[in-house]
Amino acid sequence: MSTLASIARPRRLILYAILALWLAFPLLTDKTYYIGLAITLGIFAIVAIGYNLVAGNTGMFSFGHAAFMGMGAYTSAVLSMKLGMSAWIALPLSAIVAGLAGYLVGLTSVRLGHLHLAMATVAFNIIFHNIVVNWTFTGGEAGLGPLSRPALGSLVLNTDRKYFYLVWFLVLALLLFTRNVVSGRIGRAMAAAKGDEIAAQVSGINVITVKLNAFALSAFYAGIAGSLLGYYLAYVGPKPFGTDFSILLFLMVLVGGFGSAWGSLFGAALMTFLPEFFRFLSSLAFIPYNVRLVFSDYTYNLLLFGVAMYVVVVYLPKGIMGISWRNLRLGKSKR
Amino acid sequence: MSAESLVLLLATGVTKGAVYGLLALGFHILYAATRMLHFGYGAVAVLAGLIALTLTNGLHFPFWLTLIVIILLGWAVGQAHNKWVLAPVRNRDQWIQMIALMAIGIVVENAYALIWGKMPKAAPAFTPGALSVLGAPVSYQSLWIIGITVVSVLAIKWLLDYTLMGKSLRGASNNPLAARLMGISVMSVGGYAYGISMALAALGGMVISPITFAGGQFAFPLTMKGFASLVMGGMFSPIGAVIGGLLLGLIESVTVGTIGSRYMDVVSMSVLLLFLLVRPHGLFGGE
Amino acid sequence: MLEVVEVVKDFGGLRAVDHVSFRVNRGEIKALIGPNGAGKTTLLKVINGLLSPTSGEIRYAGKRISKMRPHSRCELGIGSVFQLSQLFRELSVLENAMIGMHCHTKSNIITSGLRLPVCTREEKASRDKCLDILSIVGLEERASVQAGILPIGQQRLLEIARALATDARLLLLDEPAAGLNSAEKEQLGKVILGIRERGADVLLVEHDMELVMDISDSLVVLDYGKVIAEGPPESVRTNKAVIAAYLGE
Repeated sequence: MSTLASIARPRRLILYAILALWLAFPLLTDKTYYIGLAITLGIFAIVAIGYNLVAGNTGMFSFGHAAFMGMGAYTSAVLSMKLGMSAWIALPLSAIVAGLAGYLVGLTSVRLGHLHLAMATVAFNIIFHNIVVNWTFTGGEAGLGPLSRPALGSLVLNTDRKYFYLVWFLVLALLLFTRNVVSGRIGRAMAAAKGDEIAAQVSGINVITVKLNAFALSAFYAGIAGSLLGYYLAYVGPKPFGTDFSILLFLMVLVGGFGSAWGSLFGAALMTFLPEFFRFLSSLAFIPYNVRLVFSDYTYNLLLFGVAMYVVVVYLPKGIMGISWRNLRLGKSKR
Repeated sequence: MSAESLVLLLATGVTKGAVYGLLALGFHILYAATRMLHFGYGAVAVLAGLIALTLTNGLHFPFWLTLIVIILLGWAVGQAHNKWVLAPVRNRDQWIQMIALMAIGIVVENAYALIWGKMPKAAPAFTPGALSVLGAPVSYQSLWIIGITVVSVLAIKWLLDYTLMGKSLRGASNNPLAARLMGISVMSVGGYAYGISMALAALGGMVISPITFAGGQFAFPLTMKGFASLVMGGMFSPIGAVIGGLLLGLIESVTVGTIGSRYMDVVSMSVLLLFLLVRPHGLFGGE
Repeated sequence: MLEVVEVVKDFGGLRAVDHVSFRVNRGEIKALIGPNGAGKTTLLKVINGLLSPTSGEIRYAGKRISKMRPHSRCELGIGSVFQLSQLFRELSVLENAMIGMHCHTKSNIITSGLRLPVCTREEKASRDKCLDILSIVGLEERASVQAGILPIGQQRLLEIARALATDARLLLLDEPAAGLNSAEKEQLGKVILGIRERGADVLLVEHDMELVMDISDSLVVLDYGKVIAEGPPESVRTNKAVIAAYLGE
């Protein structure tokens, strides 16, 4: 991940300016629609940053991260609704529960390789989704709600605007935290484990522990995102936490680019704005109906995503952030 | 428990188990020869079930003809995978191939949903009706499934032991580098491996649809159950794959009989995770 | 410090290492030589934990280590440098060296993430120590260069630096001179002697006889997995069995 320090001075100022503008925009508009999109963007960004830790920096893949989001969301819902816990305590606790779940899932297969780990994450996702849909404690299909917004004494985060600041404060804090981890001892160990496991081992790194911790951390981030989503919607239901969604999350990070912070943001933006874009396209009357179906029908959408996944992984495996003539792999490449 | 429910339990368990065994066998051959797991495997099985339905109901094929066509189609799909789907990524990292295969699985799954619709359909049994064993109904379809599975397993065993194709598959499985040095190309091994495994997937998809459904959202769960069976039985053992499948089928029918069908997947997936944790090489495995 | 006791390693029907025993004493540079395929690399892998012996014992500083995993042996002080480059190409030279410090440092996710003073202090100490080590091998000027682009001689030196950063008291080197030109080999020889001066022992597998004769204190000769000679360079050089083994191939 490129660090702030490695970006040249004038570029850095532009970055700060953009950041300032971004943080100011909710104050400049009343349209909750846009603020809502920005909140969603922030939530996905948190998942993406965590996911990148696992996929990009350490080289593992998960197709079950929606379930970790779900663990965060449902735990928060249960803690807040059934135990009356304040969101400020429930959120971190749920994230820890999600992280723990990540640790346990990782425990089953991190030492067995990519394929087995990927399968284990799907298995966990199926288990999680199945349980929450069928269990009355978690509300079954209907879910749990209403969830009240977090409150700081008398200040309740009951407007989108206020919630925006909570979400983006967390995004920035987690970005900073991640950058610190990645540029320090653990980050180096993760890069080593990804680059050459055997060399890492003989250099004294316990690769399994490093990978497990990274995986648990990414589940922790997903848990935070899930809880934030729950409090935002004031409701937690099974729908966003199934295997479909996990694959979309993966696609988000793939397209953005593994291992890159900007890539995470880009992927999150794609995830947030693409549905809107599709909705827009499907409303344009001058496009023939059959073509419009591609954007409005969910199954067509998924088909498109499958194709996109293939194209991206074959021709652009490093994602958008990896675009450069050297990385574009056209035709049969023989590494 | 009454004799009747016991028979019912065993019958359902063994029937589903046989199909899982078929799928696991296909999975095994693919994994052993190419060290790859195809997340879209279940999608091919479901697709086969749908095509079989159209051939039988729509075009009025006799079922034995459908069977042959489906197996050949499976083989063809396998070749297509090997030649075209994997062509641009053949020499790249394992994860890239895994994702490419998954992507194709997603495309196939949604393509057939668009063509045939998302609702599961009823498929006719090969021979309608059922037998009565100790008072419980055991459908003729179940017997067909068990029979077909036994024949397929024997056929695969024969293929692996006595044909050139089988020998190159076993060679590639034991020592990929040596196999390549001896002139067995990755391409041809891939062709055999994908061909056989997709044919088995297609077969499995076709025989199970009269008992469950044709179509619907079962692709991913099927893939996962194939994988679970394989892990339980042993990733490198063809017999293990089949036995793992039977075991999974029985576990599922016991679950349905006791707790009910709602948590069936939870139990089978939990068993998978348990095996990964404590016995990843399965009951008969060893690398 | 290192005792190899009756080690046997079989691969299926093939016996790669056949009842090999020898010792590497404190402050000794010992070279393991022999014709190709004699089992030298296999033996090194048994010593550092990448392979486990079929039978026999490895003892280090009196402790039996045959059951320990590679990273634990590294923590004990066994560092390895292998012939096939094991650099982390995407990381910088300094980062590569700092990876060697992993097993002796403690910052975890929480302390690094929160940038606690405990962590920043440790980072600084690690950096300083690694820059120091890099200057021993002559790479301090290239600290921020990406490791993948270094010429092979410098890559080798970097790998040695990384092994040194693990505070290795026993350095296992597998054909470090492979692919190096004569100037680089001379530099390598100096570095290895310097390592001995800093208190580490060296077990070196090498084909380059000039280098071996120059710097080793004693030699062990393997042929077909068995020890056929052991002793100071001069006596081994004139040993009939050794000459036969090399010429007889």
